[in-house]
This record gives sequence, structure tokens and C-alpha cells, in this order.
Amino acid sequence: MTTHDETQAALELHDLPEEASPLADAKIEEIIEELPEADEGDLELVVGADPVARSQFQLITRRFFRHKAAVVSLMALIVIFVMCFGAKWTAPFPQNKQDLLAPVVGPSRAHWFGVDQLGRDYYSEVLYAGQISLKIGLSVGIISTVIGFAAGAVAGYFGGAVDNILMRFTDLFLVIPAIAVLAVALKGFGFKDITIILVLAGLAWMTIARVVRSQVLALREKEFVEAARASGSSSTRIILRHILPNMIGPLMVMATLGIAAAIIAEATLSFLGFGVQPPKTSWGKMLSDAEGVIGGPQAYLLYFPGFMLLLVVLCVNFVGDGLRDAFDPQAKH
Amino acid sequence: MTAQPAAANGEPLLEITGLSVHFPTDDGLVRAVDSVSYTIGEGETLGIVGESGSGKSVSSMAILGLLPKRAIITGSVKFRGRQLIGLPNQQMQPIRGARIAMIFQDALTALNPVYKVGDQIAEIITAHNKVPKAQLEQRVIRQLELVGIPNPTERANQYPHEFSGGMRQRAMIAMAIANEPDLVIADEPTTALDVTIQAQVLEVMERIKQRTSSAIALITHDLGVIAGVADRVVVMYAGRVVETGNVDQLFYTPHHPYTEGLLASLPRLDRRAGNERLHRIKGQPPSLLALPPGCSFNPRCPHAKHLICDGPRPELIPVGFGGQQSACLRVGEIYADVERVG
Amino acid sequence: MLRFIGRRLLASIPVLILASFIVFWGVRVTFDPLAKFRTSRDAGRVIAEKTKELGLDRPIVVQWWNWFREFITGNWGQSLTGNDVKDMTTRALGFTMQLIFWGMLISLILAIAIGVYSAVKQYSVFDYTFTGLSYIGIAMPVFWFALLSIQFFAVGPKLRWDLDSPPLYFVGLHSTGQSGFNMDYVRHLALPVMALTVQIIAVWSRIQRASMLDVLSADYIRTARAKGLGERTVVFKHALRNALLPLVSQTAVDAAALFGGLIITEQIFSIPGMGRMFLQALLQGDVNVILAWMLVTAVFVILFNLAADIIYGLLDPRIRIQ
Repeated sequence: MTTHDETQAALELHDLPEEASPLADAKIEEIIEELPEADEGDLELVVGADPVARSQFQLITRRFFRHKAAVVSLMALIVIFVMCFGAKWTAPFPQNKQDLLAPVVGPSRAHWFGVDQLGRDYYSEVLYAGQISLKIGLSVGIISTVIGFAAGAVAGYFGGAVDNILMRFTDLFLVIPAIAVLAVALKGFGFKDITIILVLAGLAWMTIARVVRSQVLALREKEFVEAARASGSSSTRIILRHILPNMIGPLMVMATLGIAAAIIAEATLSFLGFGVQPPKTSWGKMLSDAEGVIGGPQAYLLYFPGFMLLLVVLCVNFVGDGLRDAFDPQAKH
Repeated sequence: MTAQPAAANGEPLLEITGLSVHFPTDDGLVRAVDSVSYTIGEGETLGIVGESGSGKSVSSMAILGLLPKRAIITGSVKFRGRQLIGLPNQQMQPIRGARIAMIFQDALTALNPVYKVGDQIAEIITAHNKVPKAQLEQRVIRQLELVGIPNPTERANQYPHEFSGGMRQRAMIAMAIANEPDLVIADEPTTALDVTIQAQVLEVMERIKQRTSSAIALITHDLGVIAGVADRVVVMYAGRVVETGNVDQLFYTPHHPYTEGLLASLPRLDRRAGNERLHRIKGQPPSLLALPPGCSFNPRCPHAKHLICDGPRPELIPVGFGGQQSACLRVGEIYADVERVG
Repeated sequence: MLRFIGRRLLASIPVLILASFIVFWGVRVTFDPLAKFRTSRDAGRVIAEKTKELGLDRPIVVQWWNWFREFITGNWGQSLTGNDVKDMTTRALGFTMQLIFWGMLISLILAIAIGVYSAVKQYSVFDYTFTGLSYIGIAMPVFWFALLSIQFFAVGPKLRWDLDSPPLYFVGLHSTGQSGFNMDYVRHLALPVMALTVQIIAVWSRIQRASMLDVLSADYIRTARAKGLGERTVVFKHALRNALLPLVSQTAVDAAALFGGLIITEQIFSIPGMGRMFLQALLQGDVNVILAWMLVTAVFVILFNLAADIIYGLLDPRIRIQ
């Protein structure tokens, strides 16, 4: 590293990425680690080389694991996933096992989360409901990211009419609250799981597309793209092999944010009655069912599904933070 | 022992002794400035020369206490005998912008984009003086005139982004000299400008030099700039001073291999064209985390000798009687004309 | 400035028109206006009759145009409840505006204050605490927070300490017989506004903090200090104005979300505002109300965006169109 960069880096130490979780440490090392710009000495400019090399993968992984909150969150998420999707084995009671004569009581040793009004073990119900919440959230996040990237990359790369159409189209949906659009659409299309996923994704891709578009616009002007174009690569190839790898970081972050948003969206819609319908249930739906017990002795029915939502979304956000710092420690949000 | 340029009462305007600025990082201590000493006399123009990372900017920011809180600053910076290191902000504020002013490199980012240029100049005046509003406007316009900005009345009401690069830099100069400071520190004032504009800005600085009695500390990596404007020069490398002297001494009789290297790498139009390649100093400046033992230049020095150059840390020693000093451990051997003094 | 506003408004009209068309189409497809006739005895004939009567056999664009034409002349039709949609909307708007006003005011003040202080005192206990709280605030589902707040601040305390009335109210904006700005009003406002704003404050304070940190490390801040200005002046005069810019942009983006959040908040706190009106209309398939809500909301969002642009231009002279 040149002395200039070191001093520069040292001076900028308080420039830590703002969104960085204060629980993460050792960010300073990233700044020092940053490769210097071409200096007065021998310059080696590799034209057309992809800045993202394979060996960076290890660097990225290492940086991720330094983000304590992200690592803990990732482990928590894995545990939750396993518990929910493996509810057949992990839940102490089968789903929807009602016992109308059972006393409706709060948490106890036999029933960790208590018993609900239909005599079901709440803990088991929460685990089973988690399957839907998580499934929808994850699917929407991934699907919307894929579609969003495709649309945004095409719009950003080709520009012109295609770009205009995309921007105008997404503009329309910016003026109408998402919840409203979703509620109407779901009322129209039905409330099957797959429908909910497609409808939510059908709206979520737009935000992603806009962000992708602006990133692609910037990347398009970089030298390695020009070089690839000059060497005759087709547009598809350029997008997939040059632009996409350089956006993996932000894309993964957008995906996690999308998952978080989708989980909350589904929960809110189900709470309002426009989401998952009985006999299926999700955490949002459980909260809707429990709305009446506020203030009563069964208030505990409110805590657990909501807490699961909070926990999962929080963990997903932390993982997103960790990913962002792993891919670009100097990122200014 | 540092040579002191003549001053009215014998005391230099600014006396820096053993100034060190260290930044603690995860990889260790970055020694941005490592026991640097130099002085500036009343009204003199001192050029501080070095490549990026030589510590020239950091040392000057240490004077005004503008470094982040993390920085570990030791040593002494005396301004008219008054110790500035460790002075709390409250006591530094009357000095900043009034007795010691600073001009920064990139005027576009150094000026607040949301306020008018005239207002920003007025601000430095009112920060240190009580001036009635009517007079204030006049003073601002006068400042702009001084630095050669046409249509000053109009320009004062404009925003930084409406100025051209050279004009912005001139506005910054106008702002810095508004309170007639004793010392103006110009940190790479021409680096961000085109060559032709550079010349204009330097011209302004010449004019200022003649009109006012301010001392100027001109920090730059460009020897050409130094040649035109400076009285004395300090050459810095890897956070240390390697040579000082007046401008003629340094250009015509340098006494440090690094200075020689710098001079040799200046593209010169009067040399034989075609066959000659640009000279450059081989290698890279050292990492400030791990300076080489002894003289920091020794890994790149064509005259480096084992056991002499990588042993003790060099100090500045006088070369001749003209006030020139060099930190080369082999100065007597390399430069035949040197009579070692002291 | 006026030209700027005029131009922006003009540019929003196509957006509104297109949006209204998409909304109309979506609603028409989702809510079958003939639903109640399909099960009647003479279904076939009645349906054919009604189709002609309601113009449902015309192309969708024509149908839309007929509705739109009526709408912009002030005829918003009738609700299934029999009320005039325009009256309903106006009345509901009154309540919603109160929530929006207080919500925005408190959100901005708190977000800016927290953001600036966190940035100036970076790494302090305050900073860490509020960063943690922000993370939770961002992750928390608003409706759950609303329910919990009722539990812990209203019904819970009332039951636990056997109070006459809950310390904070959770139904409507005034107790019966009360009106105006008084303690009763505040006690009614507290929970809904809190629920509405907690997530917004969490997000905005982060943005403000980030932006402030960015600005505080800018060159012109160093210049301000080098001029000998006091730290307070540096922060509040030089830094803050620049740091507000990203937040202003963000408020524009969040305008639509704010209206969405109102749906939940008004529903849970039984406030007869626009959100609640929309929800009930949705459940009953009250098409005219749904359409009115959509359009009014869109207009408001556009106005919000316009306001944000104007404020941005006021703050940042680089953007101003001469």
C-alpha cells in the first residue's frame, strides 16, 4: 500500500459504513485492506479483466464471518427454518390438534407457548404456521429479485424505449400504497399460497428493478464492459458474465431486504384478512385470530407469533447487513 | 538545531519541533508524521514538498488542530511562542481563520455547496470581528476584487457550483486572507486545477504575497510551483523532513538523494528530446506502518550503504552556512562540497 | 418556482390518468358488480339486463372513461351503504389528516434529532442504544406493535391497577362528547401516532444519522472549522442543511407507504379515517369507495412528492431550476 493511501485510510477511519451494525468490529481492517489505486510506479492495467475474481469468494466469506450479529442471525435463522419446516418432527403436538375441553392457559412446562382457545398447543401451531410465513417470504424474496434483476438490467443496459417503459410503469405503482394494491389483487386472484407468492412478487420486483437499473447504468460505463463489447460479446453474455457478478453483493442485500419485506407484507395482509385463509395459517393469521384477547388472560397468544415475526425479520436484516459489509466494506448506503 | 530565519524579535512566526502524528489502526500504528521540525518566519513563503503520503498535509492540519480525535499528536507547534498542540477548541477558534488561515485543495468540495460564496466569506469575517452589515458587503466584494474575480457584486451572490474551478480557488483564497492572517497555509491549492488555471492562481498568490505581510506555507508535490513562489523549501518523505534550504539552494545544490530524484524526474523542455526517458525514483514509498530502519529512503536510494543508512535514524544537520540542512546520513561522502558543520 | 410547480403538476396528470385506469381495471376485474345477481332466480335475464344497464358490455376503456369523466366533475357515485362517496371521503379525510399531520411532525422531529445526535456523538451509549432500537423498529410488524401498545399502555394497566379508564385510549380520536385539542385528544392520539410512526422514525433516523456522518466528514466541514467557527455553528448551520437532503428525498418515497400504514392503524384503533373506509369497502366490494380512495390517495402521494421536491430545492441551490 502506498503511504498516501495509508494516511488517507487512517484519516478516514471514522468514515465507517454508516449502516454498519455497531456490533460488528474490525471494519478498520477493511479500509486498510483496500487495494491502492494505480500509483506512480509500474502500472499494470489489465483491460477487460473482471474485477471480481474467484479468490474473492474467500475474502467475502471471511468478512461476513467477522460480522458477529450477522453470523448469530444466520444461525438463528437456520435453527428457526429447521424447527418450522421440520415441524413434523420438532413439534411436540401434531398440527391443529384441538382439545376443546382443555384449559386455556399460558406458558407452562407442558405447553411452552401455552394453549389457545381451541385447546391446541400454541408452540406447535407457531411452528407449523412458520412454514407458510417463511415459505412465502423466501419465495417472494427470491422470485422478485430474479425478475427485478432481469427487468432492471435490461432497462439499464439497453436504455431508450425499454428503459422508459419500465420507469413509467413502475412510477404508476409508486403512487398507490402497496398494501392496497396487494389487498385488491389478492381479493381478485384468490388466497392460495402460490397466488400470494406471485402477487407479492409481482409488486416487489419493481423496487428492485429500479435499483438494479441505476446500478447497471453506472456499470455500463466501466472499462471492462467496454472491453467486453469491443471483443464481440453478446449483450446477454455481457449482462450475465460481467455485470451480474459485479452486482452480486447489492443483489444479495436486496434479496434479503425483499425477504424481510415479504414476510411482513404477508403477515399484514393475513392479519387484515387478505392473506392466508383457514385452514391454513401463518403467523400473521394467528395474530388476527388473537386480536380479541387483548387485555385478557390470554394475551400471551399475541406475543409469540409476533415475536417470531420480529425475530425472523431482524435476523434477515442482520444477515443483509453482514452481506453488504462482506461484499463492499466501504459501501455508502 | 534548526536554522531560524530572521524575524523582528528573533522569534519565528511558527516553530514546529518534533511534531509527530500517529494513527492507531488494527494493523498497527500509522506514523503519518514522524518527528518533523521546521519553522516559518514572518512574511516568508515556505514551500513544503513531497509526494502523496509524505505527511505534508497532515502536519499542516495538525497546526490548526483539524485532525480527527483519533490522531495521536505529540511534539510542539509554537505560534508566536504560544503552544498550539493540545489547545482546546475554544482557544483554537480565535486563531483559526483569523491569525492562521487555511486554503484547501479542492475548492468545489471545500466550500459549502448550499450557501452563497459571498455569505461564506462574510462568515469568516464576522466570526472574528464585529462588522456592521452595510460594511460587510463591501468588504466581501473587496476581497473578491483582490483575488481578481470579475463582477464581484454578482459573484458574491452566487453559489460555489456556479464558479469555475480557478475562480473557486480564488474565492477560497479571498476567504482565507479576509482577516489578514499572519500565516496562510495553502494545502495543494493548484493540484486540482488545469495547468493554465494553476498559473492564474499562483499569480494571485504572488499578488497576495506582495500586498500583505502574511507568511505562506505552500504545500505541494509540484516542484514547479515551488520554484516560482517559495522563499524557502522543506522536503518531506515518508513523514519526515529530509532536506530544507532556500529555494536556490535546493534547486541548484540539493544535498539529499531524494531531492535529487525529485528534481531529476521533472520533465524539462531544455533537455535532449527523444532519447531521454523520464527519470523516476525506483521503488515505492514505504508503508507508514513499518518504516525501514535508519533513513526511510534507504531502500530506494542509489547511494545507500549498509550499516550507515539503515542504522541510526537521521537528523537534520546543517550543510554549509547558508541555512541549508539535510537528513542524509552520507551527506558528507556523497556531496563533495559539503563542509560538515556541527 | 411557480413554473416548476406547474410543470410538475402537469407531468403528474398522465401518471394519475394511467394509474386510475389500471386501478379501475383491477377493481373491475376483482369485484364483480353483478355478483349479487348471479344467484337470483332469473339470473340469466337479470344479468343480461344489468350488463346493458351498467354498461358492462362496453370496452373497458370506455367504462373507465365514463367513470373517470364523472369522477373529475365531482360525481363520485354512491356507496353500497347508500351514502354519497364524496361525503364519506371528505369526512374520513378529516380524521386521516390529523393522523398524518401529527405523524409527520413527530416523525420528522424525532428522526432528525435522533439521527443528528447519534452522528455527532457516534459510538456513544445513546448511539448504540438507538441503533439497536432502530433495528427493532424496522423489523417490527406495525400491526403487532399496535396491538402490543394497546396491551401494555391501555388495557393492561387499566386492568392491572383497576383504573377507571385506560391511561391511553385506543378507540377513535375523541371520547364521546369531547372535541378540540385537549388532554383527551392527546390520550387518543398517542397510541395510533406511535404505531404509525415507530417504523418511520426507525428508518428515517438511520438515514439521518448516515447522512450526517457523511456530511460531517466532508471537506467543507473541515473548512468551516478552519474558519474558526464554533462547533455548534458547524453542526447546525453547515452540516445539518446538507444532511437533510437524503431524508427529504426519502420522505417522498415513503409517502405511499404512509398511507398504507394508515389502513392498519385506523383499523386497529377504530379511527374512522380513509384507511378504515378503504378496508371496509374492500371487504364489502364497495367499488365506488375503493376507486375514490385509490384516486384520492394517489393525488395526495403526488402532492407529497411535489412538496418534497420543493423543499429539496429550497435546501439545495444546485437543484433549483432557474
